[in-house]
Amino acid sequence: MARTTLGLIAVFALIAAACVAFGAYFSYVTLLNAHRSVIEARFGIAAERVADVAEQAASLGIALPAQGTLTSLLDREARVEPAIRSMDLADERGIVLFSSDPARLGLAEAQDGGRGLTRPVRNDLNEVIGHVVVRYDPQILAAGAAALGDDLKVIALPALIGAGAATIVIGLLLAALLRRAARRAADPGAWPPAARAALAAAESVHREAARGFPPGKPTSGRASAAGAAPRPGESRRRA
Amino acid sequence: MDRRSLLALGLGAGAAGLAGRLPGAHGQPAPAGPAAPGAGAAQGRPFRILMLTFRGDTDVERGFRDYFAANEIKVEFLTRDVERDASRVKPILAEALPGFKPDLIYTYGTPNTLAVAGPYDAPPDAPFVHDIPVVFALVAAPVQVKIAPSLASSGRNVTGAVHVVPTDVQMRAMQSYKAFRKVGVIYSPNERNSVAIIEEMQAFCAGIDASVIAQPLTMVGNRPTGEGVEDFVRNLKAQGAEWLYLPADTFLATIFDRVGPAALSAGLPTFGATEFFLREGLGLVGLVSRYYSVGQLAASKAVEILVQRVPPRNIPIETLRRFALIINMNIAKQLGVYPPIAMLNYAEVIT
Amino acid sequence: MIGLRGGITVAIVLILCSALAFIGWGAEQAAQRTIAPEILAKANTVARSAADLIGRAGAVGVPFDRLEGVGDYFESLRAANPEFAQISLVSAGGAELARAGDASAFAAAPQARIPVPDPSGRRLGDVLVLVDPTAVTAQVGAVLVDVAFIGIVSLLVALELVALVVGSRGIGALMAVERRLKALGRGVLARHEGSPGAAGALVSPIDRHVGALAERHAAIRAAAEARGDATALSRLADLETRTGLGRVQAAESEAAVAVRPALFLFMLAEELTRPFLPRFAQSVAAAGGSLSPDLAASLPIVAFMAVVALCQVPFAGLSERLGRRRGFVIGAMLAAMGYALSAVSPSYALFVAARVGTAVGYALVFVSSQGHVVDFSAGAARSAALAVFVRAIMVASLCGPPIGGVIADRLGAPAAFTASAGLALVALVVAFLTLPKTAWRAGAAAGVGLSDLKDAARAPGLMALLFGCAFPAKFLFAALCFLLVPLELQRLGYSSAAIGRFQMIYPVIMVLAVPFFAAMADRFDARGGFVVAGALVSGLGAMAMVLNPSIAFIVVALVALGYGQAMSIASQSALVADTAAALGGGRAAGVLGLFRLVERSGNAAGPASAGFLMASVGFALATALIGTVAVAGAALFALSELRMKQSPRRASSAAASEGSSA
Repeated sequence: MARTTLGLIAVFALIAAACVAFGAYFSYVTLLNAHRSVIEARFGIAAERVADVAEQAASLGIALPAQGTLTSLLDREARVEPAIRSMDLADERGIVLFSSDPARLGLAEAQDGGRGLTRPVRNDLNEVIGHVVVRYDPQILAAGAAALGDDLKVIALPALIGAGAATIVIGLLLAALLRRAARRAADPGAWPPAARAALAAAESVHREAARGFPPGKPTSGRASAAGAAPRPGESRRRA
Repeated sequence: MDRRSLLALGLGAGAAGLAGRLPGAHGQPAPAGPAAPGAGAAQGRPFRILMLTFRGDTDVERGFRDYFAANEIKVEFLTRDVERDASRVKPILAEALPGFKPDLIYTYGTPNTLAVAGPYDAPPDAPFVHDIPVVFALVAAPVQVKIAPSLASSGRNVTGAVHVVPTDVQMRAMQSYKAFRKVGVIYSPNERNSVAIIEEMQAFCAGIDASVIAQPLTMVGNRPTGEGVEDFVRNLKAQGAEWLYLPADTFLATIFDRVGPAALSAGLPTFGATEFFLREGLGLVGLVSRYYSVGQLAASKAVEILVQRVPPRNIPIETLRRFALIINMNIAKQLGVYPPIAMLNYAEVIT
Repeated sequence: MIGLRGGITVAIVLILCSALAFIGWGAEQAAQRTIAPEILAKANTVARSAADLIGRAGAVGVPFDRLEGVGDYFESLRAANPEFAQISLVSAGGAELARAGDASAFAAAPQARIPVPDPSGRRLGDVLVLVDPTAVTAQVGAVLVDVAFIGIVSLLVALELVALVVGSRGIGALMAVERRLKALGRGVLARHEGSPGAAGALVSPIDRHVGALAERHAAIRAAAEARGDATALSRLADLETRTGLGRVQAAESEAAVAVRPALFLFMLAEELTRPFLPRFAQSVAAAGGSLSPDLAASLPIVAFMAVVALCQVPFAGLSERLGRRRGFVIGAMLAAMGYALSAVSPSYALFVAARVGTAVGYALVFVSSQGHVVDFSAGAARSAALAVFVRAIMVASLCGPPIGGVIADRLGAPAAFTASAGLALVALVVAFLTLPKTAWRAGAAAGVGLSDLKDAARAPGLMALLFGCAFPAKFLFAALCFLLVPLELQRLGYSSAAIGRFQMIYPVIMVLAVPFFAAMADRFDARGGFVVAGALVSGLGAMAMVLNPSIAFIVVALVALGYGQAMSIASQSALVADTAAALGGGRAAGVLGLFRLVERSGNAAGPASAGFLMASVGFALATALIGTVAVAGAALFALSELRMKQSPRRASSAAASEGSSA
């Protein structure tokens, strides 16, 4: 019995701790996403500016591959934000035409696996003719992630331990209450009032029935049905 | 001016972007245009296109050819120039059609297009091209000149790209530069196209509680003359016009060199519908279609016909989705009427 | 006394709520520390870009003191970036030349200041961006709403796990003690069935007392019977009814709801895929197909729903023949294989095939679980048991998407599919352990034929229920939640995260209210009434939209939908199950299958009709019209119920249903 109880309490404590950990982790992810979207909104502004210039040039009939001056613009924009690693202009198939990082020319930007944010470049027919791709230092995200992680760890660990411990304490308390109630119930004198009243009624009815009632005083018409097996509905009646 | 009205102008990508909106940082790349890359891969022999130019190669033809190259569609071009004389179209066709056997004919401008395809109500046995698809570029008013009964469909083997900017879009751009209650306009009363534009201006101005002062040019017989145009400009200014709008009017274009200086000396800002007026005619600002882009739009229709095999009658005649705003800063300085700085995000500035 | 189970639940809820609130507070602190500086960095970027533009104006010849439209431009920047309280242009001399917004209310607002140079590099003035500290708080607040929602999700998952443990056999000994104490607390002196197991030492004194009393009672009654003492016998019988003396109390039957943990886990597996499925489908299709992105995204979903709907009828008989446990296990196995295949699928066709396989497994699990609940519950308790069934599904639909979204985001969609496969396997094991073993009943129900469906359709009152209530309910739900509300909110400018929060209103209310209304319906034995009332509430909520199509009325419609469906859903299923039991055999399976088929076609028809209506008559009228369908259906059903009340057939069918599942 004690082993069952303790095992059960341990399981509940684990559940509580796991759910707190789950909540903390998901809060962390939520904060991380919020953090990233603020950062990317910032880099998006730079990407838009380049996309604007490319669109104006395209409408003058300068095809994207011929917009040689974009390299210096990409370079300038990328240098303004130290966290930007590279800024590329890719054609509609994702091949990098110009980049602030000369090593990236000719690469397929989608294939480098790096996470970047993109802005489309459209022509006057409203067709997408290319993309500006900003790749930023993952360190800036990682630093934010680490700071957030540290902050939440400081909070989550005590919460986790606290929830587990509280579960154990309350579990033990509930178990002790149950045990005490069961112990007390061993003695009919300590039964709950309703049970004591029922017992007293049983005692008195039994006493009188054993003595025998004076005949000719039937109390109810159901007397003959007495003693039937309990009806299934009765024993299953809900509290 | 708010961002939304900018977007409505069809040229606001810049302003929207600079404002730095939060969502959509990871926008999915949209598919590139109507012609999928490599659409020509499955194509056997190159398509043959006969190009009939009007005054030699322009940006329109450059945009037209570049579009095929960018989409990697193999095309053999045969270019013939009519040297500003549409009557040469017939002999050129007689010479080129049997040997070259084009899959499609490209025509520049209204005269060439009419010379090749004729008006839509011509008798069926008239000597025009019927069995080869015709794609035109740089026709200002295809409905008025009877190339097509409506922009939605020519009802025949013809489609193409229009280069005029819708009047309401121009009015909004004008208003964005400097809000107005009265706008003056000078036009040739014999040009149906110009009269239609005046009506569109009036409809737009009624909506913003402004009025149009329309000044027809002096007519001699049924031909307009430039007589007294300087006085017209001064009168408009005296009547309280805050802008002078110059529509894409054929005759008016010949006297830009008189209208522009007159407006400048009267201190009246001018808004023109053609690039030429801004560069040569001392205009202040204009919203125009880029010829290169018009060529690309025509090419996109040619691709629909050749690659996707859509009949030309099912391809609507369209104008561009976005236009170029051009500001002549020298004129702005002389007038002391500077553009709102947000406009510099998307305008081309002539200095 | 709330009892052991209640105590455990309350304790877990209290503990987790405080712990999660603590974490929420920590998250707020962390957000303030990390997000606030980023907003300032963004202010710097915006200021730089504005200074650039003003510099460019100077470069093309606009004099610094003649700049036009600077205020408007700043206003447009503020409109796009509500976290900026004020944007100003000040001259080198310190005079303010243009301004948008007013930050004078904020004493120490963080600010970014970027100089505007003239073409020769001389500083003409500064662009000044002041960050609104309350906007930062608001942005952090939006994050906190998400965190709070995650708290609810983890709480619900915890409660499902607790239910899993409490339902297991390991806790039997404790429940034996609990049952005896509860009986005493109510003054019941009946004997208890079943061995107390490990709790023998604790309960034997109680059992001894109760046993002794019962023996004495039996002896006295025997004596009275021998004497023919009618008075004594009647007094003894009275005592029996009052105190349960001499009777044996059966262990409470938990069999019907035993399927809950397994079902929850299985449903969770499918719900995990919801947030990333469309985009993943697109990426698989893009790898080498010519499908349009929209079609590529919707085809797997449509195929899945269609297969699940179509399998309802044939699987009803199949699961009966296989046995519920075997049906669940086979279905979960199929689904797990489907998820695994989806994760590695190299081609789009194979991916769709994997989804179809999953759908077959899903339908089998669904049908088997429902069949299990119906098999093991009867009469009055059936609504409550079906409510547990509905609740498991709703909790899964609440918890699955955010968890799946995070897994897909952090580890990729294949990993999330793998997690789904794992969950389906866990559900399989749990079902194997918790569901009762059932015999192979090859001859019991030889499948459901068309004739069975026809017979089922002739069951008294069934068609009125199906087409008056079941179909309109799902029709309204799917139209409102999947199409009308998201589109309208999008039009009103809400972000997809915010729309997601609005869409949570319905399942949250369902989870909380379904058990309550199911118990009420059972207690008052008024299922028909609850079905009608629910349909009226949800329908009228939607119809109210014509009064004023605003955000407040959208919330009203969603809340009314939640409460209305909560009132009717379990009672609906129970009514159908009763009708099915009355028919018996293959036709019973047919009735349930028919019910789910009709219900699910409502799911499909709802968004389609709503899309059409919205395009032709607008949002408010479309919503109201669809609400009218629900109200009209309810009226139809109520009329048919009234007619049935007067016919004797209903009584016999009810009696049969009570008898068939003892």
